[in-house]
Amino acid sequence: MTPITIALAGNPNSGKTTLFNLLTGANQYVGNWPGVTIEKKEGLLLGRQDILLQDLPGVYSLSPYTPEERITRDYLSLQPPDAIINVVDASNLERNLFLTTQLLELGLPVVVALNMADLVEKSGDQVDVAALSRGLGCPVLWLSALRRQGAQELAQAAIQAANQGSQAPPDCLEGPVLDAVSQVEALIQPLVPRRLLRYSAVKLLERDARAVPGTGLPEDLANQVSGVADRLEEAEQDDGESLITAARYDFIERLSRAALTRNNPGLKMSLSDRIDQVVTNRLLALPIFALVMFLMYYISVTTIGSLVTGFVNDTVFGDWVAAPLRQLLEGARVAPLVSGLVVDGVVGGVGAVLGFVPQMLVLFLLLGILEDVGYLARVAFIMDRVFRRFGLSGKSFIPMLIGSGCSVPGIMASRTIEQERDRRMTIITTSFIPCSAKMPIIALFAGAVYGNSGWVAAAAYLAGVLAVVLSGIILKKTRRFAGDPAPFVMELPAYHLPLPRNVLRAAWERGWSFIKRAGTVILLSSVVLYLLQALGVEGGRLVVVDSSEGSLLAALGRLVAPVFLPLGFGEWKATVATFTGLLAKENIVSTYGVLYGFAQVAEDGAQIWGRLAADFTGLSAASFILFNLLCVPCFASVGAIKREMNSSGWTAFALLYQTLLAYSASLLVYQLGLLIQGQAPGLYSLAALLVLAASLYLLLRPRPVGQARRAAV
Amino acid sequence: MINLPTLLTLLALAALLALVIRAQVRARRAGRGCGMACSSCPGCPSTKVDGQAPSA
Repeated sequence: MTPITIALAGNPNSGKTTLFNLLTGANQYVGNWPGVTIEKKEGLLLGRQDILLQDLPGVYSLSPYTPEERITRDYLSLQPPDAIINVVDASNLERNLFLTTQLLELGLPVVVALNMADLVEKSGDQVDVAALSRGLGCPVLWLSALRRQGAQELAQAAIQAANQGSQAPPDCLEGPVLDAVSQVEALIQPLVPRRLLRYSAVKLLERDARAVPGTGLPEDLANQVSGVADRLEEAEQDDGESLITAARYDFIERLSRAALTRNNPGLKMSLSDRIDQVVTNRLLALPIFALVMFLMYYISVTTIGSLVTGFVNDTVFGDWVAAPLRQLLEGARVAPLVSGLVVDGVVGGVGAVLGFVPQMLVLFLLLGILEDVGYLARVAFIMDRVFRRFGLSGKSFIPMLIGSGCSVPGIMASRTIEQERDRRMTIITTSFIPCSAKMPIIALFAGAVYGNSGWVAAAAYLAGVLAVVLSGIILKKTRRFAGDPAPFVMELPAYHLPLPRNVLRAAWERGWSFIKRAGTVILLSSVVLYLLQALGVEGGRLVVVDSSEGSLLAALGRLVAPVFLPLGFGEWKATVATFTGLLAKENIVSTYGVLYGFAQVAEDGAQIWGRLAADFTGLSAASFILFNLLCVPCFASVGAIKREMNSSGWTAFALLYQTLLAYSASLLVYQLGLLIQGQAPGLYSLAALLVLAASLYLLLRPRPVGQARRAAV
Repeated sequence: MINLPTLLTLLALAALLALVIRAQVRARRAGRGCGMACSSCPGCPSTKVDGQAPSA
């Protein structure tokens, strides 16, 4: 039996995914900023195997500018669902109804859900649902998705509408525009399905021929349609799209007058406005943002997270798992190589990573609260002011915010950026912002080398932002990336108290994904690493070596290690860790767990830190962290870069750029740091000075002449 | 000569690794994104129906 398909469509951040989760019992990610859903998602209505719900990316209109908007538009016109639930933010009724007027023209049954009923109630505004329903010619129902009110009634109304079939759309258009639409309808009638006649005629008058189903109109017909549009535009002295938009807003205004009574039509500042006056203040915004980020990392890495991580590392994995397991295996006289493989390889590698789960959970919890409250959406605006000076827009910061959890969805979120050059630049730079998998590396070094200082994590985040900004300056001066960033317009959601359900779910799901990686990728690579560091070749035979210094792994690491010598970590362990980090960044931590025998030393405290500290100085640790933060991300992210770039050449450029930037930054930090510490200059310091000069040139050079002229025009 | 406890430990470890690899391979064959199939990342292909990468 073919299920009834019901699509959820609406403006960004109108609550479609919250409704989707409510109706399907799914756990799709809900974010309090526009543009969270970038692909269509499907799920069955709870308790009904015959009703399929589809959550579509949010759009303001059916005239798409970005790829994910095109997904919604093409889907609705080409693979029509049986009914549409149009989720409308009732606290912004007029603007949301613009899309409604377009959806009604698709010839599909539509049910309008007035979401955020609680906010409207709070503001004292009144919506006459019956008048709205009469005006739109479709059912209109109240909904408060957050409070879980009205969802079932809505689903029933949508099923009923799907069974009844489409209703005649209201005439939003009037006068000369309606006449022109009717003329086009008459012309294209033989070629376009009846259902899509109004939609297609309007799109043709808007000169958006790509939106019309089919391969295109015959040339003579296209000329006739174009003639109708020309005559309309000439008579009304405006372009077709503007005329139709104006007609829609006239209709919405009339409808609002009949259906909406405002409690206070004057300008009254809401609580959100008052908070925004402070947190988005021209002078205070950036210091507040810096303070918030510092506190977030300080709490998660240094204080609460660190205490719990210490307990998990020392007590849970050390005392409760590793020590008894070792005793058991040794007591049973299991061969040392095999017992070492289990205890030092599996438990050591996986345990070293799992030890950081508490820190991750605290970080995800805080990040979730900031997002759910609505603060992170403001950060995009605050950063727009900064980014714009360097050729990027605030829109590029949203993928980076998402990327602070995991770079893969961050890179995918770059789809919301209209301009291809800005999208490519965002894809290249998103992974510079430390993702959650990089946090254990930072936390490990913060504890081992920097006395658990709270500044390390915040400094790593700052280094990421700085790398984005500097890349913006450098790349924007090249021909391929030149041009002003697109204007950044984003609707800011009203602040609300964080919902524990949302925050806890987001934190748990992100944490669970981290745990799963530890049980899969990390587990497998820990086994391979342990064997490679336990075995070596002596006298032409493969033997178990006494010290890992004579192992196969050491030999492999030493082959590549000289490359990292100028960066201060040209020894085999750091080299191996850097390469294993390509599988998953937290693999760097598990590699050290295996190489330094995490499972052995954890029994008597945090000795892994002591061994790590002995191999690094403050400067070489900074260089190591910086290189691993900025260089090529994990393979999953590389795959995402390849998919989103859709070009092998651009993917190769992205990876090369990231590696070069990481190498240059680490070289500068380490070599200039040595010079500042008073070490005599050498060949590597000369190389660093050359890199510094080249970087300054790339940063400070004027825009090439051709670009400057184009910009002036 | 390998003793019985060592053999059993090796077998247990091999079984664990086989399980992990099988889960990974199945996830990848099913097109579930990174193979973790947790769907926790927004936009993860594990939840993808017909989302398409923008053409270059």
